[in-house]
Amino acid sequence: MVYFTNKGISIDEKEIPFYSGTFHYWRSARKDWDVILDRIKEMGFSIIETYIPWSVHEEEEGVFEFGENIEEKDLDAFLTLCKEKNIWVIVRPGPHINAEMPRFGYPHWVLEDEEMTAKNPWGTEVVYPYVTKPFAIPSYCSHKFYAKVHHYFNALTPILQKHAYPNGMIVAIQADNETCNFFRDNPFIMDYSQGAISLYHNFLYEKYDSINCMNKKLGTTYSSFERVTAPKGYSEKNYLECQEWIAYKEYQILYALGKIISFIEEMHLAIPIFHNCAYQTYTPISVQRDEGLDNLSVAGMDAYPEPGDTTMLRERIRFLAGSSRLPYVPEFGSGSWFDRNLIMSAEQEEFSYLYAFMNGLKAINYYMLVERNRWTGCPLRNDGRVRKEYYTLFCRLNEFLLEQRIYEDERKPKVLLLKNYEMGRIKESLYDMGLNLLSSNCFVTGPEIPQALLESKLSTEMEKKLQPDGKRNDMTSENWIDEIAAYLTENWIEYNLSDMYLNEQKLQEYEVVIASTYASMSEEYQNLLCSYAEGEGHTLFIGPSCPEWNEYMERYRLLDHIPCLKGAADMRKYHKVFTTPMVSTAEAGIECSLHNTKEKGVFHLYIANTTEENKHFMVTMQESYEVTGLWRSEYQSAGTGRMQITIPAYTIQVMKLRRKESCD
Amino acid sequence: MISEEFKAEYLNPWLWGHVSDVVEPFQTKRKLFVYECSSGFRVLDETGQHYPEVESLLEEHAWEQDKIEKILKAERSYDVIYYLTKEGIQKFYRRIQNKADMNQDIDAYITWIFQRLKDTPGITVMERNKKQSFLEWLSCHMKGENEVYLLWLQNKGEKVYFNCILEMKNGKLNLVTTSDRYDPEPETFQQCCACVEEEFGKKILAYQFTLQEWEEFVHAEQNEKKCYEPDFL
Repeated sequence: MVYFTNKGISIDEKEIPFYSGTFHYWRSARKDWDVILDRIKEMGFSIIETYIPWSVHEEEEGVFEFGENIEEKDLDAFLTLCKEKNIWVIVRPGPHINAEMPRFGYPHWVLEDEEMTAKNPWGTEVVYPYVTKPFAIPSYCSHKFYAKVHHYFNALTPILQKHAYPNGMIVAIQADNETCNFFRDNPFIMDYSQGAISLYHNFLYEKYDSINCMNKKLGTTYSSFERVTAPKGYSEKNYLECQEWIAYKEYQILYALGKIISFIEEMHLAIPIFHNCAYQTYTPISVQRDEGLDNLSVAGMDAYPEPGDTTMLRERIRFLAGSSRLPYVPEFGSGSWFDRNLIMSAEQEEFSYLYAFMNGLKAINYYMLVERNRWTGCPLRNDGRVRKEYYTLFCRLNEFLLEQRIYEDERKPKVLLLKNYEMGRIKESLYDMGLNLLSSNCFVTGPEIPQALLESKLSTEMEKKLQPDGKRNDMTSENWIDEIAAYLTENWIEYNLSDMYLNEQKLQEYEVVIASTYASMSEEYQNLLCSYAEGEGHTLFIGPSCPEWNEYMERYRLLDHIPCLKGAADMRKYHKVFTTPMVSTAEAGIECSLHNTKEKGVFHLYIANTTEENKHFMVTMQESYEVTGLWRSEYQSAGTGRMQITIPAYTIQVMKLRRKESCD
Repeated sequence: MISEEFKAEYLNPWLWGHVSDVVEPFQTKRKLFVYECSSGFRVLDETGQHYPEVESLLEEHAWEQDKIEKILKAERSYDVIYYLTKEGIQKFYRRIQNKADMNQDIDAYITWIFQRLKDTPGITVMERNKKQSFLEWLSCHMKGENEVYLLWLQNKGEKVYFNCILEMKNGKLNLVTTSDRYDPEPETFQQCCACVEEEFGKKILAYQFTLQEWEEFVHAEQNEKKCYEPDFL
C-alpha cells in the first residue's frame, strides 16, 4: 500500500521522506539514461519525477509512439530501467505540462481545433505568446477536449499499470499541472467559449436551484439560467454577478481537476494522486479546496525563488504548512528556464532550500536535476556530466536531511494568520475588463498594458461596503496581514498562514487565530470564525474592520464582540497572549526557528541570515542546552543559554540542541 | 525567424546568468499609459505609479483632442505614450488573438501586434524613443540562411562574461548554446571559435566585445533606428 502521510510517503507501511528530483527521459539520449540515473542515486535520491508529455506520445491524433521508432520515447523501457536501479518514480501525465515545450506539451492538433480552445470576451482565442511560437490556450470546459485527454490517458494505462506499485516503481501520479488558466488570474480574460458559458449556467443552477432565487439574491431579472450572460468587467450594477463569475472560475478549476482525477482513477492504479498549484494563494486557486476533491490526496504549491528571497518563500511555505495535508513543493526551482533572466548559484539555492525547510516544508521535488532543452543550472548536464557545485550541494544536502531525519521534525506554531480569500475576490472583480498577457519571460516582450490601468472607480457607497485592500493589484498581499506578520516576526512569534477554506478541525488546533476581516464578509466565514472563538482556550483577533454585511450586501454582523485590531500597534496591547519565544536575538535580519525532533528534549535550531552582510551576534535561549553544529556551523557547547553566532550573508546554520535536563 | 523546435542547450549557468545584461539595452524604459474611460482619465507609468496631476489636466481639456496630444507630447521624459480608450483596447485584443495569426513565428507575431496597436482605432501610440526589441534586432541581423554566430562578451578584465552560439538553419534560429557544450570548455574567444568551427564544419561569424562596447553598439544602432553592420565587427 502507498499513501502520503503528513511528513512523507508510506510505502509498504514504511514511511520515507518524499524528496525527489526531475529527469525528462525523452529529452536525454537513451544511451545516457543509465549514467544519469546512477548519478541521481549517488546524490542520495531514491525517487525521481517525470512528465509524460502528450505531444511527444501522440504527435498526430490517434498515432501513439512509445519507442517503436524513437527510442527516447520508450516509456516502458525507462520505467523498467528505474526498476532495475530500484528508484521510485512519480509520473505527471498532464495534459498540461509546460516544461518549456512548444504549446506546453499539448499536441498541435488539439490547439488547432476551435472546439477545444478558450475564448476571450470578444469571441476570438486567448493567445499565449511563448518563445517557441504563439499558441491558442485550450479550453478546460470543452467536452471534446476532455474526450481527447481521456483517449490519451487510456493509451497510457497499460504502461502505467505495468509499472505502478506494487508491480513496479511508480508511487505517485499528478493530476494536470498548475491548473490555473495558464497564469491568467484576472477573471475577465477567459474563458467565454460556449462550453465555459454552459458550465457557468450549470454552476448557477447548482447553487441557486431556481432562477427566481438567483434573481432575488443578485438583483437580476433573468428568465432562465440559460439566459444569464457572463460579466466582462465590473460595473456597480453587476458587482454581485461579477462575484458569481469569480466563484464560478474557482468551480471551473475544481471541475477540471475532478475530470482529470476521474480519468486517472479509471486506470486503477493503487497509488496516491496529487496536484501542484502554481503560486496563487488567492482566487481562483485553493490548496484546501483541491484537497477536498475525491481521491486527491495532496495539493502542493510550486516555488521558484530569486536569490536571497525570503518574502515569497516564508509566505508560501507557511501557507502550505498551515493549509495542506502535506507541506509539499512539487516543483522547487533547481536551475532555471533559459529565458528567465536569472540563474541561481549553488549557494543561493542552498539558502532557498534550507529556508523552506526552516519554515515548515516537508516534501520537495527539485525541478530539475538534469538539464534539458531550454533549462540550465542543474547538478547534471543533459548527457549526465556533473556540474560540480550543484552536484556537491545535493550530495551534502541529502546526506544532512536523511541523516538528521529532518522530515520527522515538528514545527508547530500556536498562532495562525488567516488571509481573507474573499478580499481577493473583491479585488479581482474591480476592473473594467481583463487584459491578456502579451509577454513571456525576457525575450518575448509584447506591448503589455498594465492591468492596474483598468481599475474601476468605485462610488462612495461601494468603497464603504467593499473596503478594497490598499494593495489593489497585488493579489498575494493584504496590507493588514503584512503588518501583523511583520509584528509577529519581529517578536519571534512563529505562525502559519491559511484562509477561510482551512478544515475546521485543523483551525481548532491553534491557540491564537488572527484573521483579516472587512466590512463585507460571507455568512459562512463569519460563522466559522465565531465558532472558533467559542472554543475553549481560543483567542481570536480580527481587523482592520468588523464585518457588517454578508456576501450579498445584506446586513450581517456576527463578530462585533471580537477584538478588532486596526493594525500592528493595537497588537501590542495583547502581547501577553503569546508565549515567550524559546530562542531570540536582538539582531535585525536574523530569523530563528526551533523544530522538535522525535527525541524528547532534542531540537533542531535553524538560524538564517537574511541580509547581505555577515553577522556577529548573540542568541538567547530560555533554557540551557547542549549544542552541536550540523550545517555550516561547528558550534559545540556542553551547556549554554546564550550563543555567540557568526554567520555569513544569506546563509543558514542548523544546530542540534539537547535540553540540559535531557542530557543529565 | 525562430524555429518552433529550436534548442537551447548546454547553457553555462554562470555565463547565461548574465543574459539580462545582454538584452537590457533593448528595453524601452519609460512608458506612459493614458486610459480614457467613462469616469475620466487614468494615467500610469510602467512602474504602476499614478499621475493625478496629468489626469486632472486631461480632464480639463477632455473635449479638445489636439490639446490632449499637446499635453502628452509635453511629457518629454517618456519614450512611448499609449493613449487608450476602452473600445480601442477591446478591438485590439480581439484582433490580435485570431488563431490564424498565431501561425507566425513569435518574433514576427510580436512585431505584428505592435503594428496592430498603432493602427487600431481608439488607440494612439506616441513614440519618441521606441527601441527595437531584442527579437526584432536579432531577426534584422540574422540574414544568412545557414550561418553560425558566436557572440563573446568580456567584462571587468574577465576572460569571458557571456557567450552564446547561434545556429541558423534554413533561415530559422535552430540552436542557442554556449561554450559549455565543449569538454573541456574553451576559455578564450579564439579557442571557442576553433571549437565551433570544428563542430559545424564551416567558417562562423564571430563577434567579440566588452560589455560596455556591446551596450554602446546597441545604443548607437537604436539611435540610428536602422540595422547596419558596424565596421568594427
